[in-house]
Amino acid sequence: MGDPLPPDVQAAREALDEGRAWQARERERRIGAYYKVVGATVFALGALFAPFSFEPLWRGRGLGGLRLGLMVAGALLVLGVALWQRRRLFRRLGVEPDALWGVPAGARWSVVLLTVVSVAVAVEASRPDLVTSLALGGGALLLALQAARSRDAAHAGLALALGAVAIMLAFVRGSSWPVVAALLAFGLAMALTGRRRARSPA
Amino acid sequence: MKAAWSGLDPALHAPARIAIASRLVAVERMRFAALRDATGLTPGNLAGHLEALERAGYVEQRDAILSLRRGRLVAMTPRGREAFDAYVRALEALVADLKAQRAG
Repeated sequence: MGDPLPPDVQAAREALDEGRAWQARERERRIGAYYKVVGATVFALGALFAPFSFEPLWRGRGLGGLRLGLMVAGALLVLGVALWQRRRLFRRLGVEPDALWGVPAGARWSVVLLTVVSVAVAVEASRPDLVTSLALGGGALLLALQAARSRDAAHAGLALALGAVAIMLAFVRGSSWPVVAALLAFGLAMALTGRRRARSPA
Repeated sequence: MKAAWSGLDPALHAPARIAIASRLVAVERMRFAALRDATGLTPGNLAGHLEALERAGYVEQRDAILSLRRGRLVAMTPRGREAFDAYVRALEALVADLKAQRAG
């Protein structure tokens, strides 16, 4: 049964619906581009830190402040890139946090928890720490649940990366390499997912 | 297309112009060629609609170099963004009214 609207109004409404569908496709493409850039930045940070994880001075006496300073500088760099890209890509188009990260409003606290735990890992990664490991494992579980809920490969990749680092941290002593592994895995998972989403015909 | 409804902006009340505006409001600016691909309009048709929208003060066009390539850039003006928002609201209200009238 046809829509009982005048032809010009009907045509205008169809054009508007088609325009909104284009905006949805463009938003999805830009989310992919956002993941690619932020993921590549995290990966580059991990690659930059990698040599230091094998350097005794990195975890030696008197250089703890340097390590912490570099970690903080790296975190600020990633945050800056993420904010800049978000403004650049979504200033006009707009994007809901749920669409960008797949994190429903009720679970935002988990992002805060993961951030705090990540900082703790960065500072404390030079020794086995069961508490940190369990906290990271909890974060991995949250991400895995989110991945199952939204069939989102990004969260599945991040959950695997976080889970692997949580297991490493429970047993490994004397190195910051789990942090480097986490950064590399996080960055790669995000960048690859972004590449796939940017091509998505959705 | 001639506007049959006094509440709708005649400068925007055409499927091709709605297609153009719904792309341009989502970006800062867009290459002419990208806008052509996104709307599916022919270059001549697109240029004609853009000229009309430019005369209404809704879009601006300029030649520029972007990402090392020269081309014509098209952008929606603040006035154009406001006009399109108002047009969408008016169209949705009109559709709701017409449906209510037919149902009642």
